[in-house]
Amino acid sequence: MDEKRVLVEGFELQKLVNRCLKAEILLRRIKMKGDLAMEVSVKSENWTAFQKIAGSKYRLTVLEERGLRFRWNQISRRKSTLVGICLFFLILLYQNAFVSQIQINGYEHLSEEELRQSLKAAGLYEGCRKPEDLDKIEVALYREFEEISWVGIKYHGSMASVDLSERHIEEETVKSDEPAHIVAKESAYVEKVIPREGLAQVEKGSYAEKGEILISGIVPLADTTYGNGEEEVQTSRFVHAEGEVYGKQNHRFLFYLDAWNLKRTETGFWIPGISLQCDGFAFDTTKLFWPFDSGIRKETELIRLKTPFKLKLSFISVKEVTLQKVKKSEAEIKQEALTALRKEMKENVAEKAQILNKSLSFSPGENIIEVAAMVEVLEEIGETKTFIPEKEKSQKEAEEEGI
Amino acid sequence: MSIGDELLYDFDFKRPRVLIGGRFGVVDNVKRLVLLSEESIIADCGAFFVSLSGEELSINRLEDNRMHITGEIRQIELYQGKEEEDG
Repeated sequence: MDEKRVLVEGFELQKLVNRCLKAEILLRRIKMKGDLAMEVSVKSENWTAFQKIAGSKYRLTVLEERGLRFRWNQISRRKSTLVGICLFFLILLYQNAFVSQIQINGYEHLSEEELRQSLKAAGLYEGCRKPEDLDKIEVALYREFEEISWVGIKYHGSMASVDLSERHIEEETVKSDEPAHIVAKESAYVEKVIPREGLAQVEKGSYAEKGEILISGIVPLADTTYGNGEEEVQTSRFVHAEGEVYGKQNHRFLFYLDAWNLKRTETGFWIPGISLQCDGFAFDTTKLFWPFDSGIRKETELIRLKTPFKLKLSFISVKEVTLQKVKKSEAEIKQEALTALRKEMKENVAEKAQILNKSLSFSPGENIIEVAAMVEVLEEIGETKTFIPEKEKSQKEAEEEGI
Repeated sequence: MSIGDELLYDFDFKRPRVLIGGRFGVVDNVKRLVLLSEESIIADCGAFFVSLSGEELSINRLEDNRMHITGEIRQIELYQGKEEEDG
């Protein structure tokens, strides 16, 4: 509702009110401000009539105007503001027509890099116009990656969200009722043999080659009943061999360490800076002005936006430092070597392996130290391997005849 | 109240009708205002005059012979109007 808030000054104000009442002019919030003044709200449509009734007997001062029409009149007078607002919304709409970010969820074995390259080839990449046909892109992903069982692409503003699900490839497992041997998965010196089912083929101290049978699933059976002069009948039983075989293995690693530490000392001088990144545009004051030989750059994020467009504004502080080369102590080198060795072992040695012995040897150079590490571990070396009894039998017979 | 009285009450446009509650009051059948100030409002309702006294009185709405008043209403007085006196 459009209305004006007016200050009316004059004598016998109730007469003005009575005239308005008679003329059916709605008056609201009549507040007396002393004996000679009052504030009253009048509808904009009744304003002319109100002014006529007041005439020259009363002084009218408009204090405030309210209502949509009044606001619209105010805005329409400011043409440049209107143009600016329209331009802002146009830019917003235009920005929304592009993809500013791609988020991929659900991948386990596939790499994000591969997926992004595939999406780019199909026409979806950061900075492109939003493709209308998303089905085409989904089909392209299905064609390229067999592992993908489901993919869905959605837009959230200018962000494209790619959700996918990979197929679970079941590993072949050996059934417990199938005849099987336990064979060595790596060459090692046998330390312990614990056969629970089957016949042990190796003993402690022997050397087992990779693939050699450690616990056999073929158990010979001899007829122990008293014969009548005929030869004993030998037969075999085929079982699913079970047990544990532990072996000692030596692992060798070679890696290199830096002989020097770089010590940074702050001088106390520092300069501030600003970094602005907006979609493809980047501005950094430290790239234009860097007065120090060496410094530490610290970035504090102030604003970060992903939609409707990418924006990152950060405050930068650059502290001047002096660099000094300091030779690492023996203890530091040893610590670093142990850390590097642990990392290598995590990648190359079985998790449950027991470390029996480790040794490190250092060959210092001018700037580099060569570290050779040898680790002796005790780990389980057996793995189950199935066999076909008839094939095994005929192979054995052939071997015996050959002898 | 009998039906006759109720009808008379509802349709008698000369009687003053005052409804007061808290800091709010409604006066019907207002023909004109006699006095208007922050402490006192006197309305001519034809047969009667209605005088409301209090503090910070203000008229929220005045339309169709109905007046809404807000403020601290301390006293209400009804006294006979000119018409009744003459009548």
